[in-house]
Amino acid sequence: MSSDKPLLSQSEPISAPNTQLHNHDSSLRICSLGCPCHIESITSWVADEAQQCNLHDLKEELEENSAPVEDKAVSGDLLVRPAVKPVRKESRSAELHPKCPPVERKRLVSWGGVMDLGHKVLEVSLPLPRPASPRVQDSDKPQTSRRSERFHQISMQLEENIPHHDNPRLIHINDPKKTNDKFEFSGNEIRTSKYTLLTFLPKNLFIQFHRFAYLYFLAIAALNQLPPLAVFGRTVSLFPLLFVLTVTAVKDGYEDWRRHRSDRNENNREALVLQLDEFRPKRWKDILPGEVVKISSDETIPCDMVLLGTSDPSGIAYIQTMNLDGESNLKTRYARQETNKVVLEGTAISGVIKCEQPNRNIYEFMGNMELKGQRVPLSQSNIILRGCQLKNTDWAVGVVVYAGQDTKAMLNSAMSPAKRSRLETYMNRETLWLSTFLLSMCLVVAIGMCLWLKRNKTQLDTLPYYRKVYFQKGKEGKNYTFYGIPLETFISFLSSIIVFQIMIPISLYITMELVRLGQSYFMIGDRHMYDSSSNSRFQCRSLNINEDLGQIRYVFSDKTGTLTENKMEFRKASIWGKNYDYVYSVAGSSQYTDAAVEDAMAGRRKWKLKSEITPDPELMKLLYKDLYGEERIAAHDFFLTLAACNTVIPIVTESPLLSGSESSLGDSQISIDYQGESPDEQALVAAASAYGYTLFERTSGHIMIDANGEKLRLDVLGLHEFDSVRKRMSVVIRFPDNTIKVLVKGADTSMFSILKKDHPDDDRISHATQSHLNEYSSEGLRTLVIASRDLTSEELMEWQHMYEDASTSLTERSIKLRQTAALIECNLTLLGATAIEDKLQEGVPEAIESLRQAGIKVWVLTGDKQETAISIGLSCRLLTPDMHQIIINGNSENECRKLLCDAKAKYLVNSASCVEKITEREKDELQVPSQMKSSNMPQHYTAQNDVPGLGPLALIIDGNSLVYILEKDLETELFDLATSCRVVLCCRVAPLQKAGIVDLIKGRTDDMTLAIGDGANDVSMIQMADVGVGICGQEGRQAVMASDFAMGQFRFLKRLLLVHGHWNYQRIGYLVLYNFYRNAVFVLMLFWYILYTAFSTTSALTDWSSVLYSVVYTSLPTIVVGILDKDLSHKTLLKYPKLYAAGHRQESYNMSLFWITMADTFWQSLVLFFVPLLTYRESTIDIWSLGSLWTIAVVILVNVHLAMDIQRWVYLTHIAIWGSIIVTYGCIVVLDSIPAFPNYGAIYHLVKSPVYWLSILLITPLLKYVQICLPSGIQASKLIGSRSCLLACETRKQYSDWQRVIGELSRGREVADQLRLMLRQSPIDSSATLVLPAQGLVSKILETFTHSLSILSAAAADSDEVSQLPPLKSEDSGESCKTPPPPTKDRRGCYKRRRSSETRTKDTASLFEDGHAWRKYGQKDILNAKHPRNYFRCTHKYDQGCQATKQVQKIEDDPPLFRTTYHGHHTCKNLFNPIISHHHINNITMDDNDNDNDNSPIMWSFATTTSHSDVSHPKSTTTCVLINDSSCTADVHINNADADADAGGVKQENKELESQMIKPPPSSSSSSHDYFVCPDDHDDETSSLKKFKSAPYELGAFSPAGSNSDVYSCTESTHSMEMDIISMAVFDDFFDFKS
Amino acid sequence: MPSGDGSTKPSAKTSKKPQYSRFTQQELPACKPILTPGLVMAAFLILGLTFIPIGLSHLSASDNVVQLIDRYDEACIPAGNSNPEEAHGKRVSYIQDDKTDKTCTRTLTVPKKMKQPIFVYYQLDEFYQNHRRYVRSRNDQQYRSAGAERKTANCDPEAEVNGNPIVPCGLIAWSLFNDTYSLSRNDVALPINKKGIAWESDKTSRFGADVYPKNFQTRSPIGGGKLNEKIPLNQQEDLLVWMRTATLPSFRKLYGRIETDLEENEKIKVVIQNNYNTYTFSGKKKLVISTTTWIGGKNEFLGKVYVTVGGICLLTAITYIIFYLVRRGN
Repeated sequence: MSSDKPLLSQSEPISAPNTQLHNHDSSLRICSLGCPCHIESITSWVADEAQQCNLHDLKEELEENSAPVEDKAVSGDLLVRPAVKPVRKESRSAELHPKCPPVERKRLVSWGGVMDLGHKVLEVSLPLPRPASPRVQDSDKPQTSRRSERFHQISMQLEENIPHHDNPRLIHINDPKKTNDKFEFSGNEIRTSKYTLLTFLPKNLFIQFHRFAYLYFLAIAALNQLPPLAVFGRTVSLFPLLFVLTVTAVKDGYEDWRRHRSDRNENNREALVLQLDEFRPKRWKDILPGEVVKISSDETIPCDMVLLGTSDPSGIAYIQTMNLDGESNLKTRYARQETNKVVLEGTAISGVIKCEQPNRNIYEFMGNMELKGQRVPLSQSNIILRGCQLKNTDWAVGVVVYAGQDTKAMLNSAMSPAKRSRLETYMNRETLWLSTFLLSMCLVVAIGMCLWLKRNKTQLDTLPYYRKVYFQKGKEGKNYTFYGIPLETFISFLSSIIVFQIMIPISLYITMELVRLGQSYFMIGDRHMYDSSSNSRFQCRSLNINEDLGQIRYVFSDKTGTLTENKMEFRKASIWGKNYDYVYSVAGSSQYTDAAVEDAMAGRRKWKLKSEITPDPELMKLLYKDLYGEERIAAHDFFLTLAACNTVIPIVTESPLLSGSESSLGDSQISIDYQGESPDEQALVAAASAYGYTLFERTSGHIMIDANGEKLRLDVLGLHEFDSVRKRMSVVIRFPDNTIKVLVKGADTSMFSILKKDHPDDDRISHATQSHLNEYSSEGLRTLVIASRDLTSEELMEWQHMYEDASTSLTERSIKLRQTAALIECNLTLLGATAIEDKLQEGVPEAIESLRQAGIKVWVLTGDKQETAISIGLSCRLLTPDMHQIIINGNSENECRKLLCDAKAKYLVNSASCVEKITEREKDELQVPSQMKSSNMPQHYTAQNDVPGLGPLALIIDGNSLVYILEKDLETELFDLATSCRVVLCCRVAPLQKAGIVDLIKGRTDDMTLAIGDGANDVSMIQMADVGVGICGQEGRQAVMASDFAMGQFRFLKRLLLVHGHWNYQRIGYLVLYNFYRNAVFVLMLFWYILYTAFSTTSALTDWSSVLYSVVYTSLPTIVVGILDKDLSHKTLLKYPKLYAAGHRQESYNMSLFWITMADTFWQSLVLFFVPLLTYRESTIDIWSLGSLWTIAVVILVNVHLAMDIQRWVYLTHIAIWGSIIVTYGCIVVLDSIPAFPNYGAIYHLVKSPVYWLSILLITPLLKYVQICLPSGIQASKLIGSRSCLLACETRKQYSDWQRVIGELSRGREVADQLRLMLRQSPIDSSATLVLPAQGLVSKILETFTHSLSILSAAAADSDEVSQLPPLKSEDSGESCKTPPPPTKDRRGCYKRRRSSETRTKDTASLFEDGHAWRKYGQKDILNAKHPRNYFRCTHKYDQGCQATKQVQKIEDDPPLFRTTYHGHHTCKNLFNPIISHHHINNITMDDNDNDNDNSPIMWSFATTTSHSDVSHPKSTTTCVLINDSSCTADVHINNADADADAGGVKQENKELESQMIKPPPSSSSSSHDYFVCPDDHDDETSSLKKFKSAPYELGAFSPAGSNSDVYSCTESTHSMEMDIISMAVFDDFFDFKS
Repeated sequence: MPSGDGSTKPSAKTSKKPQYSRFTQQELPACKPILTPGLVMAAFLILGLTFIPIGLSHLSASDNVVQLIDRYDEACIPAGNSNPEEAHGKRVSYIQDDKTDKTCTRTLTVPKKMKQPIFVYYQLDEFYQNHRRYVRSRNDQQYRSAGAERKTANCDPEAEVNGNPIVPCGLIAWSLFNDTYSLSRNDVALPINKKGIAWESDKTSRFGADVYPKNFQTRSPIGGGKLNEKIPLNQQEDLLVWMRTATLPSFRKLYGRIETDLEENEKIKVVIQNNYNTYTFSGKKKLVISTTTWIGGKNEFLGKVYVTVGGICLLTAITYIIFYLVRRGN
């Protein structure tokens, strides 16, 4: 019966005439868009809140529909679990639509309309408690005759409805033959492969020729077959086409073979099928519609089936739909009672199922079943789909309705629409230009031909080299291949097209494909993008848009599962005004919990939870106490509330104990899995269980809780669900002792007003709790307030009366329920508060920060409510406290308009006024060369601007407002506002709205958009955006299937965009330009020659050489360079996210670059052609010899051109480039050795002649000289671009650096204070309990110092770097090569003088460790001194070039006094030396306890590096931070604040560093001096540490060579202009290749 | 340097973690050419210092070449004082007349001592031997073997006569150059050696030793020279030379070698049989007598460019160095 209900509500509108649909049209639309459909993560109350909010008006209207359902609620069944599900359906169905192909879509939409309507009605009934268990329903049945009447009526209507749907599908249960008598249904064999052996060739060719490029090829080849046009030999002209076709076919064939293989595996799986009244295994592919299949637990369902029966008497089956929609929680499906009984009895069923034709909507199913003359309606809840898994059900039996290709899973597996990269679109624009060149060249030839023919008209008959007339008998007087001047002109035009065909670089398309394939290979293989937790690599699902990754301007991110882990974790609690925020350490809690607690914990171990929480020992102690005292009782109630006040269903599975160790408990271990709609609730219940309050049974009327071993049965008298008005949830519980309590949890805003305030104690507690709440929420935790109240019997009576009345009410039910709730939700006793962490994924804040620095705007689109969205925004540093938040949440169009306008007026978002207020530094940024400015540039810069004086803006907008805004003309307003905000958060948005927002940006700017998400609700957005990225998270594969790229973690986005995106973009951009150049140079060379042949389209090159040129001679290097070349190392790119802006400015590929390239091409072709021509003018050289010279010259030229542009040579590049030249020679030799060719022997004669070699030698340098001296615009523009970017970057960074330093230091101060307090409080002799906290504090202090140090040093390094940049001299980039830096001598060996200037002396009473590794290297007696002087040097003198030395001498005997003299500073890398820090931590405690000397100075020496800048400007600064304390003196010498340039790196790596402090530092033994080798971070585990270490290491290495011209001069490059921009980058890169 | 940490991972099989290799991680040892000022200066210096000598030696070699060029097409058929068009007509009718004696005598003066071997070339201008119709009008198969004489594809319109194939077929062979030169010095004949003027490879592989000319130039219009039907094609060196079509419309072809030295100011009498018709298309005919050096014939272009490029490089290098020193001084 329960399954009737969806039908009831669906059928209602269906049966209604269309007018009803119109009536509700407006409100319905609101529903469909305004409803937050992001269900997986949000709490049930969020969902409900949204529904109630959005559907409020609708609800009232349609109240009647749900009346029958309400009746049922009286029964007191309070389970709500299925209640929310339909919302999900609705959202899913909505988002599926955009995926459908047009034809499919049309049908779906018509259906969808009806279905949507059905859901609206369904939703109305949602807030009602709905029985989930059919058992309960059965018992209800007799009482509800009125209802069943109505049901019947409705199902009749539904039945009538089905035939309306033309051609329903008829399935005869257990009668596959009859079902398939017309063979209209497909079998269960699936085929994802495209081809078979037979069809491969024709089909593949057919598909390939869909490409325009190939058609062009084909047309050219066909033209060439015409006799008068036969420019090339006929076979030769087919070669390139065949080559390209073969390569593609092989690629396709391989892919298809893999598909075949996986299909075969899938098809040969076995399932139990009813055959001859017995279930026998049958292969999947043989299963037919109509057959009855039995599925056992955990098996995968082979096809779409209607459930007939399950092992559960009530017909419930749980399925996991992970593969289908990605949701990891279980869903319930029901077998119809009618059939379930039959199945359980074991008798065969026969009947007919009528259902709709196969469609791809996985959230819908409509049909009915005719059983013995009785019609039973079937719906979505009766069907299980292919790809799902049966869980928690022993077996299920179903009849196959859709099989094979008809299944919804297969219908949904369509490939996402092919996307085309932006660069390719631009490329087509340039291709058009190339065609123009091509045509004009052909025109020149044709006109020339025409004129030449006219001039020689009279002689054509006899002209020895033309001879157009036959003189032989029979043909006398006839023209020999001459068709008159006009036609000859035209033929000449056509044949010149054939000759110049490669002007349009057809091979480019295949080259690009191969290059992208190679790039994908590297992206997939990148170990930094491998997610170990999900064991997933990066995936490239689309091969067409690699380079788009380098130009992303907007990132639209889902929140849950993308930014957060979708794992709620109970973090902290405040109970009775006391804060419990125990942060468990690695050491484990056992040593701190005494035996009693141990027992308690053992007690709860009986219940095995999926997620274990380490409980706070203090709280555990409290809980173990006898139930006495306010605090104890409060704690008790607190956890009872957590366990009881929810809608979570525990699923209990018993398993025998695994080990004997716990056998003391005597019973088996029971593991509980909590299934709930809301992860928050699950987390709370799990937390309660961890503290000994385990919810293990829930029925409609009661719940069972195991409270510290005592099993409590609590009757649930009533439940007020969460709603958006109250923002709280409450349950009324009767305890076994008949006391009645109201347990409430809710949002703090709504809770504090209804607390009881008559006790002064309450005030204290409420204040304390409130401050805790503030603390929690500032940490980005989700908070809930827990309260309870005892109910007197009178109150109970009153409430029960009202509750009954309200829940059976036909009108205004929700209002009545709310009033009822208000009756008991007052005068509450505050118990405490909880804080749940929606765990951010690792590295998210850092990734977002980097993306932002890179000029990418990150927008978060979430289904969550506003508060949650903001708190997550804060915790992932999207929002910062200094931001001005513009919140738009209007409920009507006018309200939205007003809010938008107000915001605009207030924050003066007006592009005109904004432009005026661009500050100086932004102007720097604007100094990109004018040709770089595309149409979207000004907009971008206004977008970057923060409104002066007001700080950055953040826009927070909710889905409700978006409904009005996206559909109305307000779109523009929103766009203006949104683009001027730094951050945009959209909360409570539906999937389609997500796509709408993406479309808003996509439609209005040229900017590239990227959408990233993990759930099925992100699919629409992923498909809408230019680049869609799926996260292979917990929500399954839906998003991944739709995405272009898929990866395991959000943080990989940083690497994907900043590193791979940049590389790909730069590579492909160069590749395209180079290909244009390569082919144009060749074509122009041919063109010049044709001018010398009376326009007769002769080519001096042999046919084969012309054809092989682009296929063999020059293709490999472009591919290798396109795959392997890197302009900057990944370290640099990650370190300076601003470099990403190169893609935004379209630096690698734009119109001006194209024209520059073309001009270069023109000039090069002139040289290329005329040098040999003039050299061999008036000589005996024949056409083939000179042709062979031209061939080799052009090949060498383009390869050398490529070689000069290569940024980074690896052995493969060498092989490719030099190999190509050698191969070309080889080919020429081979071709000239075949006597059948007219060019036979040419090369053998040529190579003997020195002039041949001289002219080849001449051509290359002649051109390259020009290139070196007048750096092409490519480099000029790059130079200017990155320089301005860097400057802007620096100025911004400096300010924020100072802020961060101050912040860090003050934090350090606080911690130090705490330490002092702690040490004071406890007497010196006190216990070891102090040690650990003290250690923690000390390490915190250390951390703050290291942070500030690194920030400072980074800043110093950076500013040095900027000042080192030679002044920017407009666009005359030639300048920089003429102004080399002043050479400075290598000053190695001169440090003695320097040393003397930096001497410090220290007198101490004892020898002490200063934290450095010293090596004694000498000792000598000094005149007039008793004791010898000991000489020490830094251990790292040689391996790291550290120049620090010290001398130690005893100067007094009694008391002993040592004088230590330090010379120089440490440049070795022990800033973070773990040994040191540990050593000192030990020292503190040791000093306190053992030493009498309380004030013994302990020195932490944070030696960093000396300046690597000029000697004349020593940057050494010494900062001393003294933390004076009675027992602890921290004397921190910051020797030099000039070390590591990687502030960001330090910050990021800190976490890991802390954990790795224990590890010994990696020993690196390098002994080079001028160039240091930084260890590459190969291993993930130690990478961070190494990376970190390597930074100061490098610089340390540099410091002796700080004034070394060798290295410095490298930065002043003349050719690779880009390099001198970022000297750091050069350093990095230098190391890179030196290694 | 750490390498291959990943390979030691035990779970490499189950884990999808990409295997570490320098290649897959794009961490191959690379070398980045950074053009430091020093490097650039050195490169330019070296370039300049190598190019200038090459250029100079080339120029001097070119200078050492002694060549005599005599354009005789107009001089041999005097057209009087008539206007150009008339002269053209006169010359065409003269050359097309089979009966007339086309002997023409020219006297040349040797400007410098010429050492043997001295090469005798004929030079044609405005003759598009590289015209597509012309270049393709041949059939190498026919030339190579006797059995393939019927293979006259591409040879039209000079493929056959009355159904019999022309050997060698095609326009190129048909238009064989047929002027002859006989030289004499002080009335003593200077022998011109016409052996070995064609490429050895052409003689051995491209033209058959058993292929004899057939039906060649038997039908009007006669394009050019006739071939001795007794001599196989690969011995007809003039034909072989002619069949190597030239690159450009003005070209030289080797006529023969003089194997004695010629002294300065010697008068050489050249008796030309002026048979070849270039008059219809106003082509020029020249006789070239030239010595060679290692660079071949006289051509100053390459040398000049070398010197220029070398000079510019040197100049750039010097400018750089000066700038560099000035900056350093500051």
